[in-house]
Amino acid sequence: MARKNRNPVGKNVDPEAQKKKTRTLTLKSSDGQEFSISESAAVLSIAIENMVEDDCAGGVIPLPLVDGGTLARVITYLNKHAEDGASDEEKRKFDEEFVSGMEMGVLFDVVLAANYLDIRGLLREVRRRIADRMKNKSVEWVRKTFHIESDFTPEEEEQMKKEFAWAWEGVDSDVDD
Amino acid sequence: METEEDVSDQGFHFPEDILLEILVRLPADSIFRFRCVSRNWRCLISDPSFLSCYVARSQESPPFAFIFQCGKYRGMHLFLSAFNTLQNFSSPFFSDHFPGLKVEATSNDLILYRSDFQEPVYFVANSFSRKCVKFPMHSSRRSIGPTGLISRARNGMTSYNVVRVVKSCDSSRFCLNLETFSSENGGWRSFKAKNCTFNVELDARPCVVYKGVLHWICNKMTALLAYDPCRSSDEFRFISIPNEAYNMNGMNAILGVSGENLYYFEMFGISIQERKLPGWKLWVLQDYKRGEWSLDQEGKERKIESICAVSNVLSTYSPLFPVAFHPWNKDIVYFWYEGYVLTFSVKKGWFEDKFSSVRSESIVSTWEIFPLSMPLRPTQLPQPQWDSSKLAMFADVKPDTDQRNI
Repeated sequence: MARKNRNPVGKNVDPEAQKKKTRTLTLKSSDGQEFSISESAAVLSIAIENMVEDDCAGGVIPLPLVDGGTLARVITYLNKHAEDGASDEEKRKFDEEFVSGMEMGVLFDVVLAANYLDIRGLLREVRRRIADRMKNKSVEWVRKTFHIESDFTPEEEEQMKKEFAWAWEGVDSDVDD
Repeated sequence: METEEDVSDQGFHFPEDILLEILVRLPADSIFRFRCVSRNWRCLISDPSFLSCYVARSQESPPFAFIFQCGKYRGMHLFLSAFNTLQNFSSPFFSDHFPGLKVEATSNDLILYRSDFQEPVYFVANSFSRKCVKFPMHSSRRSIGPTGLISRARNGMTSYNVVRVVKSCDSSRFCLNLETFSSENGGWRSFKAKNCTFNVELDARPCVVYKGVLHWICNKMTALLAYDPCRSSDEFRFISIPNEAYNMNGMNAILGVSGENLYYFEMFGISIQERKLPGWKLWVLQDYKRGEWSLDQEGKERKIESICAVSNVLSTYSPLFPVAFHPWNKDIVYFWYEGYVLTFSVKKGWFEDKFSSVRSESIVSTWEIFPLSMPLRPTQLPQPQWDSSKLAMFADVKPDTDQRNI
């Protein structure tokens, strides 16, 4: 589509797409905060697109599983990806920066939101980021980060460590980044 | 942070499908380490569906390793993994009860052990699931002969055959006896090979499994003795090494499988002389039926320049010889040099800078290096019906009933 050429009388402009760009939706977070977003950006979320199509949007879309802080982040992502003229290279760079500063807790919130809202690109990006952070970490770091209590006995743990000793080489120190 | 506090207060729960999507993106060493996080994680990671998903999307080749036989009683097996680190591949859990365990053969992820303690016994163990099956010894138990193992995976189950080759002299005529065991019928079968008319000396090298056929290296690596246990014919087949090969009693050469092909690699010398690496040739078995080889690549003698760590290691007249092929990448050949395992790149005609150090005094034989690889589809070892009383014994040996650990 000739998106670059934004001539209002241009023949190639899809009237439906234009409508989506101007129409705004309101998203409501679990803690009651409301956010305005263009429909074209919002429908990058398959879940929201379905709600809009089924016409259950009715002005305000409640998202009871996403808190305000997380929703604000998700909306920043959606806006960038719906932006006209943003090249793939630009989007890639944005994605990289978008996730690089996030703490693990924030990444978890975003991955859950992206999963719930069905935003594939964001989901992929955040999953990759989480795996990147985890890969050289210790078992203890993973337990702490994922809030998991070990249910192995110290003997069992020792045994597994012995069996796969090579897997314990090259583990970073437990510094949260 | 506020959100983090909320999370821990509510008892954090991470959906399994997201967790799995994250885990498949981790390198193999992390996967093995994180089995230790909790029982639930170990369960997820050990699940066959996770493993197939993991291997399928793995950018690198599936994990593999080499087993070196070592220790005075051969009870210990060193494990050189794809990550270029060495670990003691702790002998299987039953080794305390059966001292003197020896690795006889490997096929995919299965290891065949033999113990001669009290009475000879064979065990087949899955190296990743650590499940193990003991099976009865054939009546001609005193005879010793090279053994081959071949495993196949069908519908998530592994089936396997074990073949022993036993030489005997039948009224001054040379002959070979075969003893085969199949997991499907759980019994041994013994018979005389029909077409073996000339003298065969089997080399002390692991049996090579290629195209579902067992290949023993024989007559100082001048030929391969091939036998297909699935065709249950009584016939052997001989395949010669390349005619033009410069054979030094097999000392300078290796035969093995890499990816889809059978290769023969040899060096024109077995040591560094005057700071020169001998020339080498790599052949591929082009036509299996006709036994025709073709030269794949070759390298000329090369002067050693002191440019990398490996050059500094290679300084004496000590033997330097090839020991194994990379199971997936035919451009990599592993060399043995004074207790080091060096990685040789066929493309570059030179060694990679990374190498592993092995305490060579504990290695029993550098000819007996067994490759192990994780199958593309993880499979289960069938539970034998032929010897259920012995199985009960294993339950005693290993009280941990959690069978899902890798």
